[in-house]
Amino acid sequence: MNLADLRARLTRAEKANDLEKLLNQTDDGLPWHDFVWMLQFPAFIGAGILVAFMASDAKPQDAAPPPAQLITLAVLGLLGAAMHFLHPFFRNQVQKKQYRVRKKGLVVPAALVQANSMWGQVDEWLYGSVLISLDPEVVSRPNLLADAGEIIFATKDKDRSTLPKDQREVAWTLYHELVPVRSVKVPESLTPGLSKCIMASVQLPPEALCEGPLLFALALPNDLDPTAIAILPEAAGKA
Amino acid sequence: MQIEAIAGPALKVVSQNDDAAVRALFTEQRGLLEVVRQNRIWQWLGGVPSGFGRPSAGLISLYLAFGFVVLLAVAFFVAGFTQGITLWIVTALAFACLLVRPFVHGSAIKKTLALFECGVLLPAIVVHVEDKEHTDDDELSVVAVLVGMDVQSSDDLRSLVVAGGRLRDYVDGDELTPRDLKPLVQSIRERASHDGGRVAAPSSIGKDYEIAYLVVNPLLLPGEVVDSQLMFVFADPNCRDADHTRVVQSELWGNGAAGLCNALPLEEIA
Repeated sequence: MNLADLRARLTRAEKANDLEKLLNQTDDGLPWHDFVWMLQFPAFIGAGILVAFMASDAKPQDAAPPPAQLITLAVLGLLGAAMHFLHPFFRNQVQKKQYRVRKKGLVVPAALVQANSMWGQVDEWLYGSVLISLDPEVVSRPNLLADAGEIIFATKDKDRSTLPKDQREVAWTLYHELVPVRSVKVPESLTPGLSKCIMASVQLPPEALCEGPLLFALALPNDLDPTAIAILPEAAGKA
Repeated sequence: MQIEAIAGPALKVVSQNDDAAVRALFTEQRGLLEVVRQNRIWQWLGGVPSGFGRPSAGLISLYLAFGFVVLLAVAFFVAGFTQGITLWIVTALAFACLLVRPFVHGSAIKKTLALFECGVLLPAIVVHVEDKEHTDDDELSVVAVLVGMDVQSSDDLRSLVVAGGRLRDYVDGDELTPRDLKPLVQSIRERASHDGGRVAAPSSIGKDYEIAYLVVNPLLLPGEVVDSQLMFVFADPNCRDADHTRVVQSELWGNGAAGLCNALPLEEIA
């Protein structure tokens, strides 16, 4: 998989407003930025109606339209323009992060660590845990990541008091299965041959884009927020 | 905050006679609640807001948001035709929708979050199950439970199970109720409001016990039916008011809790 080529295709999909739907990025908040963006149209249409009114009311002896109409026209025009340009500021924190993932996220390989038992059986996005690495080595040796995923999963049912201290948080996160939670940094003792690995709780698409044992994700580097990683569906490879 | 359960065992089966396992389960429950709090994943506790007012408040708030958007769009159109009183009325109505929203569910959000921040999981023994309430989606069970407010060990848990069983027998009429417990037994039988409130239990039943009156969605329980004497309730230990005690998803009860519940079936003693 050519990751640079895939990123370019995702950028085109984002420009066509297709990527958000493709990645199933939803949140509990109201889409105020969409509301604000849509409200520009009534504002411009209202301004258009007002211009038509002013033109139909104009008399040859008038020097200028009434000030109230001019002020209203200016206000409608300014509001329309403000809504057009400023609507991104009305995104909530989650929506801002999701937008950044779509715009600036790196395409990285991901290894499945665990998934909801219904994943693959139903046509729904379901939660799972994946291991991703920003180590350049992972592209040339993808099996390292898949092997590390298996090593990490093996810690799930171990008595965590017997594990080295730096492995306990990873094992606890797998064990409690609560989602979505912040990603955890994975110690190198669990990822032989790889560094800069994190384990993230993500939504898995019903049909994920994969190559061999690996999935692919859009990820913001060094961001442990659960919304900073999105697993790519199979359709993203054809975008 | 450091979560103690991070260094705990991987529980599978918890017996009420295994003190170490019972203590580990309680530690795990505290750890799970801390994970929920740290990540603000309130959906595991029922979402925000839940309770503390009309269930329709959230929907009304949503309608008000849509009302603001629609009325503002209408105001923009109206501004094209007139700058008179009609425009001002429509604009005022739009902003009124926006300003009223926090009053519709703001208080419920605040109280729900306060409960979620301080609530703890407590073991509770079912002492009475009433006829079911039906909603559009679910069949709800109305229960009274004996809650152990300070259960730390397997001995404490067994004492709670015994006390709850005894009280259940009194409520069922299987045993002659002692005179001092008659008012309580009567009130459990005849209680009309199961609002998530609690009352103190008489000391003759046991120390640090309270009675909670709940409406339970069985889907939250491990077996998706009220078939065990034992359940865990999420409660503010310092407030017995309505809505301050509830049943939350059994995933938060900890691994091994389901087995513990199965070991205490309701029908055997009831």
